[in-house]
Amino acid sequence: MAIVECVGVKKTYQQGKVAVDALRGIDLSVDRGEFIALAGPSGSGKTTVLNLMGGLDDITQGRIVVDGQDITRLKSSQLADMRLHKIGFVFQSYNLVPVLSAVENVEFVMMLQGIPRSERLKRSCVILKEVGLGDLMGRRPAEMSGGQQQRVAVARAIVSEPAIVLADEPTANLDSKTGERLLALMKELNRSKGITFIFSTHDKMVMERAQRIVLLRDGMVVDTVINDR
Amino acid sequence: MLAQLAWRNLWRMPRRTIIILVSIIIGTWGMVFMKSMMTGIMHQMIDNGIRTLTGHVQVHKRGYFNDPSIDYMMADTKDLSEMLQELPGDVVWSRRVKVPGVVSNARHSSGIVIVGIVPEDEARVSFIGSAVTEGRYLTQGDGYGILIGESLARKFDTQVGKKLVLTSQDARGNISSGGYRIVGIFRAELDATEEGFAFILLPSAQEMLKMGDAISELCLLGPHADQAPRLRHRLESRIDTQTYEVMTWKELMPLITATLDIWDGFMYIWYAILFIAMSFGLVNTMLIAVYERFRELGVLRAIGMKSRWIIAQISIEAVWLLIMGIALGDLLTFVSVEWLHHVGGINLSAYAASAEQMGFPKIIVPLFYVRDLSIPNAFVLFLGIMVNLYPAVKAGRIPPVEAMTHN
Repeated sequence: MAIVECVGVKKTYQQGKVAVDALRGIDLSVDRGEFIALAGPSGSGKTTVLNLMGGLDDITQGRIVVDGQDITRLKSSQLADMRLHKIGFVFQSYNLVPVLSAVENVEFVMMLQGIPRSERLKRSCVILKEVGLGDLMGRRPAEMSGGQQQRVAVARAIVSEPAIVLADEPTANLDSKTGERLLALMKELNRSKGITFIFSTHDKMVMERAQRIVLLRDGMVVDTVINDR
Repeated sequence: MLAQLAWRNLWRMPRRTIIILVSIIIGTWGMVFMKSMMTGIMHQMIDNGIRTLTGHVQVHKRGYFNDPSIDYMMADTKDLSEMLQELPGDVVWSRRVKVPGVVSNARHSSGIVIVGIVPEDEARVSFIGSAVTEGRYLTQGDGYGILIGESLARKFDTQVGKKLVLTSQDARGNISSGGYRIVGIFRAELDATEEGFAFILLPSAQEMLKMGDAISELCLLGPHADQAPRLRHRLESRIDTQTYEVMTWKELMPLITATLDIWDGFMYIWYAILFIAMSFGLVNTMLIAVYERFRELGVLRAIGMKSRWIIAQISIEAVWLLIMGIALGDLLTFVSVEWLHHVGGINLSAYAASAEQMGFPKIIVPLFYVRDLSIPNAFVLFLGIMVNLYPAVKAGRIPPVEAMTHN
């Protein structure tokens, strides 16, 4: 059953007086529990697809349905609600709140969801232990390595058990060993919790672990590869 | 957690936070300290006025206030005495004859108000009992004794023991005069008081002015100036208000009352000027803070933080700044006022002539009441939050995609 469905999605940016077609009609369906990579060269539209799936940007034409809800019809506050409760984000440059510790960064999303403090703290500690940061909970981002920060970002993305995690080149700033460990962690979370992971990536390592690779070029899906491994 | 986050955000750039904090502290101090100065000046002006023969309440024959001449004398009747005896124990009073006249010696003459007093009663009501700096205060035996002010003594080049002549119109319309020997010289807050009043015994004044046992005014002093209206009502309920008029210090000193009202209005203008200056700094600081965290705020929006939460977070940062600035500004005011009390106030005697023309005391001692904090503090806090809405709303409207591609 599809958890994300893109139908004829087009996105045009206005750069000064020039209209740039970032997406030229994407049709894509992602099943619940999939571990899928959007691959392609720079400017192919990978990040734009993720942004539109996450309701971060306005669609020009077409329709995107997330967990049964047509998000192209939602208002800004409804989109924020949807992101808060259904989607976790992992960004290329971690994007943690620098003045909050690891555990507070993870807690933050649950605070926005209105979960009581004791429950937040319990769940944050559990998830940080799961991602291997049980002994770094009190550290702030500046006191952690890139890999550790990205693991906090993953913990933040999955702590409230969203239906989907959208990860925009999560390994791009990590060395290969750290990247591999992070991918193994996300694969394990995908397997154990059934969370759908959608990546945008250039990284071969990510593509090797993905169940399906959707190749984009010039804003269009040009190929889909099912990974047998 | 938002409050904690806001607090930590403030200290990301400590120098900037301290600079804006200092501006809020100085702004708050400027408001509260100025209010303390004004309160001190007003308090001294009112106190000087009340102690300089005004009292809290006066009773006159109707018409005397507008024309303080001998034509509006009132008989010191038994009813009046009985009414005074029934007043609470904390109300004191003094009977007076108070008429315009002329004081002269061999070389000088000057217009003056002749005040006939009962020394022991007057000492409880006005400044004169404790103001004698040379010679002594009047006693019942000083039938031809007179007290004059230091300025008048200087002007007349006279001293204790010398004689002066008082002249005024008597009750029959004739000019009466009498010779008096200076028994004491007094000092007052204002030179105008020292030059404008001469005190003799009440019976001497009544005799010179041929007015029998009549008096010009009855001056009453209660425990507090604020209770003057109550005292007036009490007196009005006992006397014939067709014949007599009872007036409070506010009515007796209309210039001071008007000054108080004008200053109240001026304080709000002063608050507004300081606040406008302060608000530019606050808005600028918060805008810079928002633009510096443009990407981070975009990420927060991306992970599901609604606009109103972002507005709340930025507003809480401003509230922290404002609360700290206000508290420290209040503390600084308290310390400044205490220090000025310790050193005896701000001495304006070098500018006394001009200060006196404005009715200011020579030495200004600021007065700090905790209740005076409420308006300037509420002013800074409320308007501070209001002006901060601009950067806060701007932060709340940051488009996540644009913010996340921002470097």
